[in-house]
Amino acid sequence: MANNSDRKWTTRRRAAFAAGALSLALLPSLMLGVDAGAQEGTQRLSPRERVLVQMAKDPAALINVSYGEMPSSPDVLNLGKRGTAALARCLQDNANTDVRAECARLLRALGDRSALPNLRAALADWEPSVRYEVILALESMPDEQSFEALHKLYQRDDESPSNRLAIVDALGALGSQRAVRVLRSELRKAPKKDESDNRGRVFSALWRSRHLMARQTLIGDVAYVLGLKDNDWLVLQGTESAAELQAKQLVNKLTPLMGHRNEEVRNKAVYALGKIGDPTATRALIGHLPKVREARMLNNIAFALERLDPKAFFPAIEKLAAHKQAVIRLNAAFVLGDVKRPEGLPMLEKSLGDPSDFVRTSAIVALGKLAEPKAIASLEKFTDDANPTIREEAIYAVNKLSGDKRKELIYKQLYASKDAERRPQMRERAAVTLGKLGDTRVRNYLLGCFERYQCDLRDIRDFAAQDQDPRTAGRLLLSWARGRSVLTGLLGDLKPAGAVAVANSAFDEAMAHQAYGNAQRSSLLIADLGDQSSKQRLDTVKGHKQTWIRLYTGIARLRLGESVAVPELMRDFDNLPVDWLDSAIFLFGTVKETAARKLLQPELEKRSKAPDLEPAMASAAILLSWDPEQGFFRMLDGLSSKSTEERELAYHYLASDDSKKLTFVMRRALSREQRPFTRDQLRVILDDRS
Amino acid sequence: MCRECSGRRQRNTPGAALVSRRLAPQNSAKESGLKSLNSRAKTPRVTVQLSARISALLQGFVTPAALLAACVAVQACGGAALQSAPPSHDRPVPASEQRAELKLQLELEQRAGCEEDFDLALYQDEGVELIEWKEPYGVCKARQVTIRYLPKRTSKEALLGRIKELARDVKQQ
Repeated sequence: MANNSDRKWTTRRRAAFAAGALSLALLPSLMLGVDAGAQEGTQRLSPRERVLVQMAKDPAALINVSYGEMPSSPDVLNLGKRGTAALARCLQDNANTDVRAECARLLRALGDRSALPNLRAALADWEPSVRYEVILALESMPDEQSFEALHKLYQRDDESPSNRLAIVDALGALGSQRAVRVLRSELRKAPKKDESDNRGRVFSALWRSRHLMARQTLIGDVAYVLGLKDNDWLVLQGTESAAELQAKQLVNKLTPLMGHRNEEVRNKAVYALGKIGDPTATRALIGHLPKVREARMLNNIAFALERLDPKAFFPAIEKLAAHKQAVIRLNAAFVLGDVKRPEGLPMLEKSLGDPSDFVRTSAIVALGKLAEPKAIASLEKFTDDANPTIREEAIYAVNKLSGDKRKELIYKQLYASKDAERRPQMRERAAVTLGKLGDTRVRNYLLGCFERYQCDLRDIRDFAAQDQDPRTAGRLLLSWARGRSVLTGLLGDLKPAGAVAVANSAFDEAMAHQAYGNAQRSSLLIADLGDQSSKQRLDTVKGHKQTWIRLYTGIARLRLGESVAVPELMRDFDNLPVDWLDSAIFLFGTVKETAARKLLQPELEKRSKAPDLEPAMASAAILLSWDPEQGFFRMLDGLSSKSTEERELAYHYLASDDSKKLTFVMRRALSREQRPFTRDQLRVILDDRS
Repeated sequence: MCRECSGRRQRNTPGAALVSRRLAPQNSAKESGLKSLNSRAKTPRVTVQLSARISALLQGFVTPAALLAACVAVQACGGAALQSAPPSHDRPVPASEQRAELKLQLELEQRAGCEEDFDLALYQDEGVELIEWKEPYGVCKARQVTIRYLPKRTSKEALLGRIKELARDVKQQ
């Protein structure tokens, strides 16, 4: 028994040894086979594709690449931050100037800060065009540590003028006290003979760092700029800055600028005086009125006066409303309308008897803005006026003052009359107005107008959103299928019959033809429609090579209830180039479902506090779009940050989000804000929204 | 006609802040109303009145030099206290704090920016959390509004009183 088992064991040992020896003998051949197979795979790729594949794995992938072999920018950006190492290495080691410049451009678009040391080192590049791209990249990834290298380059006499200007911009972006000192000193340097005057750019850069300066110092710099005689652009910037700072100390500097040779400067100076609101400017403004020779200036002075001293404003405007020149009377009526005060009513009623059709039209439009129903009586007679413009404006004004109770007048006279057929623009305006009021008699006209690309979505949106007739949604769905992507959101709200089938088929077709834009809009509609039957087709593109397909379908899957999509989505979000963040904010902003938001919210909140500001503020912007009340506070912190980058990002996202609720929240913040620069910024954003 | 429309600001564009301001609406009529409204706002005035008895008491003890030194010291301390206090700003209210709502129809004074002026004035009351207007925006008459407030910080009566000061007519819905 023992001998038998020993023999068996020996036999097995020999067999195993033989198999091992055979494997070792064949290993080189096997490896060659595998390698050959792999090479055959890559050989099928074009040179650009081969480089692209290598970029994600090998930092040296771009060293020996010619410009013709460089993959296209979207493909490189599609790699996201996985491409950073190769691009950073390319900046140092590629011998081709164009390739190095392209690598710097792409690094800027990626915004991956791990490339900063290489970018700083690349400021020593021999080629000005490469250095230029590098400077721009350093500007878009501001970091105090870049100051030394940038400043050193700026001080070189042999640096190109365009690069020096780019450095000035970059210094402004750094948010560095050292940069502020350099910029302030440059601002005071008058250009030498035959040297270009860069002080405008210097002031722009300094203005970006204004939160780092004592307010009085900044006001002093603005006053200095306002007093310059040899650079109109710089003076213009000074007037704009003065309007934001609203510092009374600047009134004396602004007042003489009302007579400046440059029209822009004159007008902005008046605007700034109105914003500052100091009563000492009143006399100067009233004194300047008779000298005015342009409508814009007249209006600016009138508005400034109205803000400063309404009691002085009305006698002044009354004189203008009775001026000898019709163009001045016309503008006076316009101003009275925009001021919207009831004190303007008697003056405007008087203007209704003006011999000039233009003045009468302006007065009619202005009366419509006053919201004084008693003006209807004086306007009524103009609804049959022989002049079609006067007639049209009178009808709109009467309808507006009556609280839309006279829309029949619009229908009969401006839409359905024979005269309306001869005047297509008048009819279109009437149809759009009636459509917004929900008048179904204009359905065919509005849909036809949209289908012929004569009207855009905003002209028909209100009508379509409230029209119960399924034919409206049906025709819009057809337009969407023919390529009117702008309808995606509206159809998502309307959910017309058959939309699920159309959206699913559109997605399938788009993926089959690699029409990724169509696939994206289809997945948006699929998600809005919320039909579970679409899930399966979305699952088929999991792990797709195109980042945006992964993101769009990932969001759609999440909205349809697939919580597993969250980690994939966040992985892609973290890898996105900064240039794509705005599009990602839009996409994530489409998530309406509470359950889906709950899953994403902790991830986004975590990221909104991360040190890398671009993705952090982008995360905050998504949260802001979902809930302006809660999301606003992160933006307010950003707006008050010491970092220029963070302040500018917060400004950008607050200004880009046009939700009404955000406006209300920002008014609250402005009312309670005591930090001067934050207050200025909130004021500017709110003014832009009005 | 003269209203100059604003362009959106380009992010990370050099000088973009200035560009955006250059394009900002020139004749934003909002500010017009703001000024006059602020002039109506009540400014708290602090007056220090010493009773005759306290004055007499002080006269017995206080020499001019000591008074001067005390004034300097008080100012210095006051100044230091003022400097150390960070500027106040809007802050989130804990979700757990109780909220209440007022639904109103308001007639605002007819002028440009009437809605914003009302908001800016009423938000001075820290008990007001949100003033939410219904369409049509930019109109001063018959405006429907919901005001969410914090009953622990302001009472309904005080709030209504302030609203009546700011609006021409107030109707509860």
